Amino acid sequence: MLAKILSATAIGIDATIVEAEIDVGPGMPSFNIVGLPDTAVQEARERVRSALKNSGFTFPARRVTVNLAPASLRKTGSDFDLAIALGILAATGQTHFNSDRTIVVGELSLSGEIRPVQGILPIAHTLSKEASIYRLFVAGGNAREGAIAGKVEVYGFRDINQLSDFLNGNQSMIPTTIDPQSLFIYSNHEEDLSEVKGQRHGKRALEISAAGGHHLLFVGPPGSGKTMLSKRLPGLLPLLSLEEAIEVTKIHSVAGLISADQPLVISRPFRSPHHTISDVALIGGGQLPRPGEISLSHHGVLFLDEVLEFKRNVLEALREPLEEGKITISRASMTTTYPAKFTLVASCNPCPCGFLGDTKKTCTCSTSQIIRYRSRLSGPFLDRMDLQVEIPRLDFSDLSSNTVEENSETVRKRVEQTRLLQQERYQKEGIHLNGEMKVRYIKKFCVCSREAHDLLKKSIETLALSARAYHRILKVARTIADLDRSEKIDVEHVAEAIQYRTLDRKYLEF
Amino acid sequence: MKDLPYWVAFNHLPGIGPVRFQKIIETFGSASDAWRASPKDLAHCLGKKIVEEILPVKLSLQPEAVFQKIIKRGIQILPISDERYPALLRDITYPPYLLYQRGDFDFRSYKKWIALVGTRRATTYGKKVARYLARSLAEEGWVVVSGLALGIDGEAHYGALEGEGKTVAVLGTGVDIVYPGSNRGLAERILHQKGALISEFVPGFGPQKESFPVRNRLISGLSLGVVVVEAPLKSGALITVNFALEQGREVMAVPGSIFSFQSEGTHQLINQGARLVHNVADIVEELGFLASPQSKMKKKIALPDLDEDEKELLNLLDISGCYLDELLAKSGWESGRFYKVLLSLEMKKVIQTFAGGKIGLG
Repeated sequence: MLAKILSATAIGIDATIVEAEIDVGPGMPSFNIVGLPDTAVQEARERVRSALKNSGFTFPARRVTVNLAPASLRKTGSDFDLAIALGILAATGQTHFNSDRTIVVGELSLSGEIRPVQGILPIAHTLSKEASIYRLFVAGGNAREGAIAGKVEVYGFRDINQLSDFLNGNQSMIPTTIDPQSLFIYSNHEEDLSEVKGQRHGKRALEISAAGGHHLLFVGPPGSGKTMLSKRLPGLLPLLSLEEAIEVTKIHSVAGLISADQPLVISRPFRSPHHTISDVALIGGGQLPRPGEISLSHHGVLFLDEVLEFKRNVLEALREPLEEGKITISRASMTTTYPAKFTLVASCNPCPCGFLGDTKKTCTCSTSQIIRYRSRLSGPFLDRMDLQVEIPRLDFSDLSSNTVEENSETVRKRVEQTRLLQQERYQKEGIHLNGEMKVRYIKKFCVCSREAHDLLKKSIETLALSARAYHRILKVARTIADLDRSEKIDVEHVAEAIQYRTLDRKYLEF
Repeated sequence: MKDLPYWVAFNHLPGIGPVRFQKIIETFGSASDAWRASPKDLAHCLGKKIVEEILPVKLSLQPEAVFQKIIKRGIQILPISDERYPALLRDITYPPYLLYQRGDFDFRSYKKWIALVGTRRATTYGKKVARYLARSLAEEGWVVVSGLALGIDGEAHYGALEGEGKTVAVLGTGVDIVYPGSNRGLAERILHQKGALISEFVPGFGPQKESFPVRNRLISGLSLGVVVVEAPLKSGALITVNFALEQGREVMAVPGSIFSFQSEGTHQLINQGARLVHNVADIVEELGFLASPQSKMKKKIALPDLDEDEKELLNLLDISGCYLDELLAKSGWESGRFYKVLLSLEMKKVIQTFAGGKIGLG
């Protein structure tokens, strides 16, 4: 007997349907899987055999052949366990199942339990666009995640017996439904801007970064609050829309970061990889490309603490995704594109010991050490940081003061309004934020008042700003003007923007 | 001097400093005789251990060839017996028996020698003072001696060049090597303006940690007095001061802000009795010369034209400087106005932003 079961597997953040054909025929008892399976798929034989036996079914003592089609696609992981088991039951007549409009995805345990797999949302999301499919069978733990996509009926099963009972008509079940909007519940213990005392300059830079999508670099001694400030950036960004949330969840699902109780990522991601990270882990990759930290921080913030400690090739690899907002990973087996639109926040010490320019502690570095350290900061990487801000260490009296600080929500409201303004402006241009402007757009949209233009020209000469700083300043000035609801860029906007180019200006002034 | 190539050859051997060289001359009569002496005789004079160390180098060295090579590169060799050798240096304990010199400069033509030294990590204030003092001193005919390092040293040389005067750089490397490399341009300018680069280390000798404190004794030894412009508590400049005191040279120091780490060393020196340098006349008088009328005047720093806003903001800034946040809070202004005025003050060079985000007077 031959049975045909449809399954699916995630590829990148999309999915493809895989057809499992199961043939049970005469011959020496054997169990073979063909169709470019990897080791994990080969191991499915042992899981399926034991699961069926331990669930009270009989495993046929005949020649069992499984073909996974299309044969050209390399199959990986345990997604197909359930489809293979169900096919054997159908082919041997132990379960009545014949539907070419149902997709079955799940891993089996030896006891017959169905286990959740990674990448269910990408699968459900792809299927929701296929008219021919109407049902998706998954593990109970995957059901809520799958249901977010809508349109497709998602059934979550505990074990293979429950599935068999359902198919044989012995047990009725209703598909899992979920209202994605109901998942948008925010807990109050998120880190709030009001907890940061003082640091007005740093906070203002955060606001500008959030409003215009500008990458940000904090320079300051240890303990000055660089990390504390950075962690509060996601809270200043507009809340994720459902569409964005699904996009983020798809990436996190592929990486296996979604839990059963919170199937949707509702807040903006904040990723802070350690500086020992490899380029593949940061960018994404592997024999079968998996998303890296830059994709996991899509629509959120990628924070590189102690950015100078990162390996040079790792930082270099960031350049393309920073420009493109996505990353294409090519490997021998396949080419995948993951989205990677994030705000980069980096922090570093002003010198190797960290206390250069500090009022309380003396810096113990030699001049050549500082020059060498700073030279690592220069170049193409620094070039992409629109905002460079020095964060001084505060006195205890400032930290313990009782002044009321603005909270994240107030700032976020301003950011949201400013972003709306930009979206209107760039409607026809295919970009959304000031930070994404290329030179062509800067010429068109960064119109300065006469005085502002003169000031910028003069300051570039007198402060010895680099030529590359020019466009960065204009972009930031555009956002500052937008926050001010001013159509033209005025003198004070340019003057403030120049304050955020500290590293271009001074080299070794103590 | 026929013996000179052998002097140079001994200079190339490790561990043969002024003390041992003197002993060699006393024992063998001349360097050439010593060079030809048997290892046994040498060991008798210097000790077995030293001879074992120098022997491999000595065997591979050909005195005439090495000597010719140095001469061909335009490097002058001044043995201590030469009349061109700096007279002041001869008086110190263990003067170098050989000096290498680059530059068309005659030590005999000058009487007024002053050393300006200080930290490599100078503040803007320190650099300004070094340049100003060096310039004024050079204009009054003083030869400014320093160490061609970053910071105060470099500024002192630049100041002397600006004052159309002479300046001598004492190197901790061979005279053909400029360290740090970023001062190569400065070295060229010193040579161009007929100053000199001198060193007691053989040409080709690279930068080594120990060699810089050693050359500091030449900086003080060449000069009548040492002015410490800016030095933290631990500074090479204070090593120079110790040499200066040993050699009987005058020590003077420039005061700085009590909030600055970079002036702690100079303040300590003033406490211990070093003369406080307030203007050029202080230096000149301390060294027993007659101060010219203009040396008593302090350089006036004229403020550029400032508008009301700029004056107001400038008044909020005290000498020790403050952070941007503090200044913004103190002014009570809204940020647009604040940044505008701040930038314009900065462009007029009245104020300056420092590493760490501090704003101070420029």
